Amino acid sequence: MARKVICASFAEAVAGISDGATVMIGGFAGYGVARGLMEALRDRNLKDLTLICNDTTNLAAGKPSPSMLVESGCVRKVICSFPVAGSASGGQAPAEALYRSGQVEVELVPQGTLAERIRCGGAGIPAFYTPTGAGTPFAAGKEIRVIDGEEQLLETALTADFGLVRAETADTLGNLIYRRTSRNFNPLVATAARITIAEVARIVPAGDLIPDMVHTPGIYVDRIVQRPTA
Amino acid sequence: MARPVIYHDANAAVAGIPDGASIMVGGFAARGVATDLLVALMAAGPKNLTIIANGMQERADGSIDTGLLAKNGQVGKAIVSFPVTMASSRVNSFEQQVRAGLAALETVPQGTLAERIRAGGAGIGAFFTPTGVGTPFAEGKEHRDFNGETSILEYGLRADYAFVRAHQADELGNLVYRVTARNFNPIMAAAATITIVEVDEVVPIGTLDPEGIVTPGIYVDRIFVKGR
Repeated sequence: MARKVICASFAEAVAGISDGATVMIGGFAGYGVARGLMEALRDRNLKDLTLICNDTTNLAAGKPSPSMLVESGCVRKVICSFPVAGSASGGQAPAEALYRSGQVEVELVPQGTLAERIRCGGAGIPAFYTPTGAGTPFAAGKEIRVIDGEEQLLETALTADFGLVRAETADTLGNLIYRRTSRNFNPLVATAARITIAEVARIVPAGDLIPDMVHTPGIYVDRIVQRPTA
Repeated sequence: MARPVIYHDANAAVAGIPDGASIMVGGFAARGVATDLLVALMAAGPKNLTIIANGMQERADGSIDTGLLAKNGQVGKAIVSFPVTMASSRVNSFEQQVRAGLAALETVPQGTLAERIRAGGAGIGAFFTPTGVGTPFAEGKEHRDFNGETSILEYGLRADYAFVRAHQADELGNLVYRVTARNFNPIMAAAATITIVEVDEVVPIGTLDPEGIVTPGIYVDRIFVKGR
């Protein structure tokens, strides 16, 4: 297994992401979001990105949100569960205007279905049936099958060109440990992207992590960048 | 959330399992097997069980595993990846029973088995996978193309009971496993109506590092503490 590329900067870590790329971003309402990677991606001034993430809300004051990418104009489409929830200061969030005007397309996905679609993308499962959304507008246009007496919808897997992951600790083989609730979507994203980029607080030598504590096996991780200590 | 019931007697921990029950049994080549629960199940003696496990082997070293349930005449059907002992010179009881028409066998590719169990625990009714396409495993199954690749439809698996082997539990049933003994155990813990766990020790709530918990306690109904 190849040693991972340890990048010297966030800019180096997001190199190669091009116009039209699909980018998955871990995180949940500001927690577990790879802020440094997102800022570096924003500063690339790309076009027509597709984002896959839990939310583009920015309700947590001082916390990063993928909405920074939407607001910067580099995004064509967002696949997420919570596109809008107002803004921290009240009123309409900046991204919401872009959604309402149709400048940025939104595919709204129930949160558990979003997690499962990403997980299936990572596991090589192209599609699955779930009861979530049956009998609601989410079922419109989707295949419905009755399994064990219950209506279930066919949902397809999600993969991405790049995954932006925030973890606490990486070893030099790319094995990752997350911190508390910041784990959220990050382990799923790590498996479902062709190139997974991990932003971490520290990098330790291989062998230092307790194997039973590793959350993401290093085989899924391509690039690692250490965020500056606050 | 109801706390799991803690037992120090394996026979009490498996009480109430009726004839015809389906039981998932964790483990992989004798590692991570709830051996004391299996011994208690053999003593209790329910018959016509459906066993969902990685394999049904009996081993020369006499290690306790699912194959002994077949030897004891308790297995009506097995859904497994490795139904027979690989060495052609050895025939295990389950293989003899299947060849004699006394027991049913559903062989499942190992990754598909893991995914079917995980789907059962996650509330996913069915899924498509490319594994098995173009082989006898695909016969009679629905085929569909996704992104230029053919897949077959596979269904989630659930069971009445799961026998899980973990290293430690806390009093809420949160579990940590020990190295490769983890294998199928976490996904089975999620996929059974009643999950029974065999552990080396139970520790007070708050003792386990939350980041290291593999199975949340909500999945665990009974805990059997092994003797030292």
